[in-house]
Amino acid sequence: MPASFWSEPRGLRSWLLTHDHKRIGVMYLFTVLFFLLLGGMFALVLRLSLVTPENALVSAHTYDKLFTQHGIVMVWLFMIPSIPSAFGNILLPLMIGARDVAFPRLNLASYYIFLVGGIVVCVALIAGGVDTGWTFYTPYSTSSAAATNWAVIGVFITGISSILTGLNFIATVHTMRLKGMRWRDMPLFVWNLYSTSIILVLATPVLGLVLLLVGADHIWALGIFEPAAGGDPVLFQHLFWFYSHPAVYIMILPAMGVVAEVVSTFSHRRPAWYGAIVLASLGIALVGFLTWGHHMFVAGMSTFDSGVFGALSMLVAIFSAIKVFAWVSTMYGGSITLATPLLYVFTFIFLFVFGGMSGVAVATTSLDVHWHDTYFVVAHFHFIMVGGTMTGFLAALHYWFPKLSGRMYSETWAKLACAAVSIGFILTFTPQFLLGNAGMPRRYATYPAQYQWLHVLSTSGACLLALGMFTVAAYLLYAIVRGPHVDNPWRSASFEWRSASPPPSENFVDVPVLKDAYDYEDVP
Amino acid sequence: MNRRYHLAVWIVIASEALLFAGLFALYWSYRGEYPAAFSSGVALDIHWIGGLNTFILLTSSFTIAWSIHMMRTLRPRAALWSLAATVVLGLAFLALKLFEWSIHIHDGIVPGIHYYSGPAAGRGISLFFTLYYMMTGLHALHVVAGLSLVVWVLVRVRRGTIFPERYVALELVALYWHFVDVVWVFLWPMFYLMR
Amino acid sequence: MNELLRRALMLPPQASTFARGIDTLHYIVIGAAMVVCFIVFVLLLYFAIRFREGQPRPKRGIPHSVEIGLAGFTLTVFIVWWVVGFAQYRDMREPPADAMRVYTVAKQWMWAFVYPNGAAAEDDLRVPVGQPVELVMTSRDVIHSFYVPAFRVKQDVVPGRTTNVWFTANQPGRFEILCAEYCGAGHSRMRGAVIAMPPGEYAAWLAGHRATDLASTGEKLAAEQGCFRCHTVDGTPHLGPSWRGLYGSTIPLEGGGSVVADDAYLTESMMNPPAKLHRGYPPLMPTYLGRLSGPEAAAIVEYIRSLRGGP
Repeated sequence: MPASFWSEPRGLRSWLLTHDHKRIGVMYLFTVLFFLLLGGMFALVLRLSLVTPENALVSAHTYDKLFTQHGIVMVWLFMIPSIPSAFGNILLPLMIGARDVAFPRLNLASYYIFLVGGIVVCVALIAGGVDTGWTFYTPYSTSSAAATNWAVIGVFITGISSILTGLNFIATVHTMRLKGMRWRDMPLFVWNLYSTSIILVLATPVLGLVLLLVGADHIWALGIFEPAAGGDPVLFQHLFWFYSHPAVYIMILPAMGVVAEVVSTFSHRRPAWYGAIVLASLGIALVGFLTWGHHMFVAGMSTFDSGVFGALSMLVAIFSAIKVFAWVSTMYGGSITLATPLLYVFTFIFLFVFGGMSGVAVATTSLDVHWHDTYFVVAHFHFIMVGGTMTGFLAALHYWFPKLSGRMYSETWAKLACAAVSIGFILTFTPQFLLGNAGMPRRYATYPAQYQWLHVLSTSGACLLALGMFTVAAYLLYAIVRGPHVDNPWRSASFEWRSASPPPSENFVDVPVLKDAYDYEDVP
Repeated sequence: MNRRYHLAVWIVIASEALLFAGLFALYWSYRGEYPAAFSSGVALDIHWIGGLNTFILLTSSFTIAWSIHMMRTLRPRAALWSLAATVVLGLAFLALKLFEWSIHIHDGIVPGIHYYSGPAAGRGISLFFTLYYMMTGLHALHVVAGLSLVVWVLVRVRRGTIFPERYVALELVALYWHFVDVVWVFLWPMFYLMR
Repeated sequence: MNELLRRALMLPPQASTFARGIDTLHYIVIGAAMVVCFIVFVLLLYFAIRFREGQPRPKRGIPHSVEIGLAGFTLTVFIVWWVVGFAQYRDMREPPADAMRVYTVAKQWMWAFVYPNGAAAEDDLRVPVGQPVELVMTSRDVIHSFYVPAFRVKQDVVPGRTTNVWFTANQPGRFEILCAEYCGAGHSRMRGAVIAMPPGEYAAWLAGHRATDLASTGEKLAAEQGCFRCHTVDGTPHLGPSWRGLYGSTIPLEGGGSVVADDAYLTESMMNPPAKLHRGYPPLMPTYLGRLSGPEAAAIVEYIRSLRGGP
C-alpha cells in the first residue's frame, strides 16, 4: 500500500516546491479558506452595523470600506479560485486518469502568483483601505485614496494566476485524458472545469486591462475616463462588466459540475441528458460573454442595446434551466442515499432556482429599473453565489473529504451544520429581496427606520450562517485526526475513487482500466 | 507531447488578443466621438518612424520564419544567423520607439488630462495621446517579452538543444513573434495613417 | 388584489403612471419564481423519499421529449417576459412631447433642480400631478443615480454628459428621492423628495415662490463668510485670486504643475487651502472645514461658476 501524497515525499521543502497537483490544490484550498474567513468577517461587521438605522457601530467611511473589501476579497480571493483552483487542481487529473496536469511547474507558479496577489490586496486593506465598491466605478475610483492602487495591483496579479490555471486545465483536458476516453466519456465536473477555463483565459485579460487603466489613471491622471479630458465614465463600465459578467459564470460553472457529480453518485444513476448538460455548460461559457450590458440598463446605454442585452440574458438563463431539469431528472428512478453532500446539493438546487429566477426577473428590463442598485440585486447575487457556489463548495468539501483524508466525518454534525447553513442563508437574504422591493438602495450605511425589522432578521440569519460554517470547520478538523478510515464510502464509480484514499503521489499505482465513470446499475 | 505546447501558446495568444481588444475598443469608441481630434493626433505622429518600424517588424517576422525554414532544411547555422538578425531588428524597433517618444516628450506631448492641448486639436486630443502611449507601450512590452524568447531560442540553437529533429520551441516562439507583429500591423494605421 | 400583492411584497405606493404596469409584471414574474421553487422543492422531497435506497426503480427514465418540451416552454415564457418588459422600458425612455423639463444637477451629496422659469430648488422637486415631467440631469463630480421608488424610475446621473428620465405623478404626496449609485461617504444621506401637488396648488406655489437660485445663495454666503475681503469678482487680483473667470481656468500651482479649477478644486481650496496653492498668492486663506456645510460650499462654487464668463 503506497504512502499517500500527504506524507510522501517528506519535508516542508517538498511541499513548497511541489509539482504535485494534489498538494498545490490543497495549498489553494487552505489559502482560499483563509480569505473566506476574512471576507466573512467583513460581512459580519457590515450586518451588525446595519442592525440600527443610524449605523452606530462604524462611521460611514468605514462602512464604505467594509462593503468594498468584502466584495474584493470574496470575489477574487475566494469565489473565483475556490472550486476550480482547489478542487479542480486536486481532481481533474484523477478524474481523467492522468498522472498530473499538463504543466505542473506552471501550476505551482500560478499558486504563488495567487498568493502574492492576495497579499498585495491585504496590503491595501492595511494601507488605509479601499472604499470604491468592488466594481471600481470611475470617476470615483480614479480620484480615491492611495490604497486603491494596491487593491488594483493585487487583483491584477491574481488575474494572471487565473489565466494560467485556465490554460493548464484546457491543455490537460485536450492532451492528457486516459487513452480511450473520448470527449463524450469525460465526467461532467471536467466538462464544467473546461468551460470555466475558456472564460478564465478569454475574459480575465480584459479585467487586467481595465484595472491597469484605473491604476494608471490614479497615478498619472491620464483622464481616460474623466469627462474633463473628454473621457466617458460609462466606457469603464462596459470594459469592467465585459469581464465581470462572465466572471460570475466562472464562479457557478464549477459548482454546477460538483452538483452533477454528487447527484449522479448519490442517486447511483448516470447523469440524465448528459449531452444537454455538456452543451448547456459550453453555452453558458460562450453566450455569457454577450450579456454584460444587463448591468447597465440605467447607466446611459441606448434603448436598443438594453433590448439586445436583455434578450441574450434570457437565452443564457435557459442553459441553467436545462441543467436543473437534468439534475432533477437524474434523481428520478435512482437509488438515493441522503448523505450530507446530497443535502447540500438539494439546498443548491432550491436556492439556485430561486436566485436564477430572480436573475430572469432583473433581466426583464422594465423591472430592473426599479431593482437596479437596490437590495434586490444584492439578494439575487448572494442567492447564486452563496446559495449556489458556496453550497456547491460545501458539497464538494463533504463529498471529497474521504477521498482526500481517507477518513469520514460525523454525519450527524454535518447534517446539523447543513441545516444551520441553509436556514441561516435563507433568513439572511430573503428579507433583502423585500428591502429591494421597498426601494432600499445598496451600499447604504444608514436607512429609514421602518426597515429595521428586515435588517434585524437578515443579521440574525447571518449569525446563524456563520455558526453553521464554523461548525463545519470544527467537525471536519476533528475528523482529520479522529475520523474512522474509509476508502470509497459513497460507492462512486468515478475515476478518482479508483485510486487509494488518500491517493499516492503518482495518483494511480496501476494504470486504470478505462471503464465508464458513471457505471451504475442503471435505468436505461 | 508537442500538442500541449502548441495549445498553450495559442491560448496565450488568444488571451493577449483579448487584452489588446479592450484598448482597441476604447480607441474606436473615442475616435467615433472625437474624429477631428484623433485625425489631428495622427497628423502629429512621426510618420517616417511608424513606417520604418512597420518595415522592421515585418522583416523580422520574415527572418524568424526563414530560420525555421533553415532548420527544416538541416541548416542550423543559417538558422542561427537568421535568429540573430531577428534580434537585431527587434532591438532596432525598440530603439526607434524610444527615440520617437523622446521627440514627443520634447515637444510637450505627454499623456494625461492636463497635458498637451495641441495647436488645432480640441477635446479628445489628450485621449488620443493617452491611448497612443498605452497601446504602443503595451505593444513594446510584448516586443521585449518576445525578444527575450527569441534570444532564449537563439542560445539553445547555439548550444545545440534545438536542432533539426526537434525545433518545436523555435516554431512556437516564432508563432508568438508573428502575433506581436500582427498587433503592430493594426496599430500602424490607427496611429500613423488614418488622417 | 393589486393592493394586497403590493403590500405583501413591500412595494411602495404606485405613485406614477408607470408603477401599476410594472408591478403587474413583477407579480407575474415573482409569482412564477415562487411556484417553480415550490414545485422543485416538492419534487426533490418526493424523489428523495420515493427513490431512496432499497425502493423499486422504474424501468425508464424521464424521456428526452419532456426535457425538450420543458426547455422550450421555459424559453418561451422568458421571451414573453422580456418582450413585455422591453416594451415598458421603451415607454419609460421616451418622454412625451409636452413634458415639462427640469434641469437637475447631482453633486456630492445633494440634488439641485432648476425649473423652466428659472426658479431653483435643492433636494425637493415640486411637480404637478398628472403632468409629465422630464429631468435632464448631469453630475458635477462622480456618477450618482436618481431613484424614486414610488415612481419605479431610476436613471444614472453621469458627469460630462446629460441623461434623461421622465415620469408622471398620479397622486399628490411626498415621494422620496434616493441616490442609487455609490458616490462616497454621503451616499446614504443624499436624499430628496418629489412633492407632487394638485395642479392648482402647484401653480400657486410657482407663482408665489421667489426664485432664489443656488448662485444667489452662494453670493449671500460668500458675503457672510467674509470671502470678499480677499477675493474680488471683477477680475482685480487682491489678497486671493479674483473669482471672475476662475471656474474652469488652469491654475498654476505653488511648487510646480497646474490644475483645472473645477468643482473639486474649488471645494478643496475652501476646506484645505494650502493643499493646492495658487502660485503667486500668499498662503493666507483659512480653512472653512466645519464652517461651511456641503450644500453651502456647493452654493459658493455655483456662484463662482456663474462668474466664469469674462468681464
